Amino acid sequence: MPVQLDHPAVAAYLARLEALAAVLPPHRAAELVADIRAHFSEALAGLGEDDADGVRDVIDRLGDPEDIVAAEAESGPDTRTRFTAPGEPAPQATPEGWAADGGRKDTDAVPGPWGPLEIAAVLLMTVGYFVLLGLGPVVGLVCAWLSPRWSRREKWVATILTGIPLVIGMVGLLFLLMFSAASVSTEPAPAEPYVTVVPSAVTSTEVAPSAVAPSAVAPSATLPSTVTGGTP
Amino acid sequence: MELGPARQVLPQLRRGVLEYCVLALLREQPRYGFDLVRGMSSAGGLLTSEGTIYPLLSRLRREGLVTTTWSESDAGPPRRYYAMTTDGQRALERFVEDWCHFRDTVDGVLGAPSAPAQGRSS
Repeated sequence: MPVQLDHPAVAAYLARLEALAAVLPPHRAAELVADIRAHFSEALAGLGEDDADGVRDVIDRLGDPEDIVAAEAESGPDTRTRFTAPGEPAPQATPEGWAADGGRKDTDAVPGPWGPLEIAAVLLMTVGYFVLLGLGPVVGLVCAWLSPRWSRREKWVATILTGIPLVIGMVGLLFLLMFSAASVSTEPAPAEPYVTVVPSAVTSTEVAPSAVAPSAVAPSATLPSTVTGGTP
Repeated sequence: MELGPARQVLPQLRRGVLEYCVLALLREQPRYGFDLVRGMSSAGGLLTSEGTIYPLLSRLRREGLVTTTWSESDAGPPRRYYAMTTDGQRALERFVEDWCHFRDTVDGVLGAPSAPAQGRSS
């Protein structure tokens, strides 16, 4: 009878492999273990039951489970960066083939050609400011977060880059509203109606309002230089 | 004998070309995992750890260079067959071009003719 997968050395190897593969996403771990099991089935098929050396040889040639799991882990997420889908421009020469790895460092993303969702997101977050005011960028951000092609890091960067102008815009708007409400009472205005509006506290510190240009009255309490002609 | 720093480029070179060698094995027909392992073993020294071919194959699949199909086999467990896609073919062709150019360039710079026994380049 040929060697089976429950041979002690084989079982130990597979147990170690499964334990190490726990760092991988579950479906990839399961696939890898399944592939190695299938490998064992094929490799051990030709061996006799007592062929301990043969089993040892198969295990040695397979290599260290750590190396195998590391290779699976570093091969990165689903990628289409280096090789494009059919119908898209032909792939470039691959200088990274000469480097140690393919340089796929981002995690949890499907990097690659931008799809309609990503294009909409970018357009909404930029042009959307002018077209849809605050709403456009917000919708654009939602699109960005829904995208499977951008990593979490890229999404956070987009959120911050989009959010800052949004927050500044809102704060600026608030200030504008506050100041415009406050400045109603300090705006230069036609003399007579204005005089009646000015609080008495201000007029009491001033020369008789009727003798002075309207613009000189109340604002001088707060902005003396501009009102009186810039005298220090 | 200790490997000096100069020899350490070899593992990197291997890793760079490995996937294209695997693709080349799939030129003629689809093959299953262990069959590819045997094919690489006969190439001598390219696949130092046989188990690492499986992560490589799974990456090639994710990149769309190969497809896989499980095939029921009467003799034993089902086998996962790998086949090259048109993207894979294109990638392999490009690599062959690049590799030949690279190899010739490096050979030219090293002054290395095909026979290593010669002392000086001609």
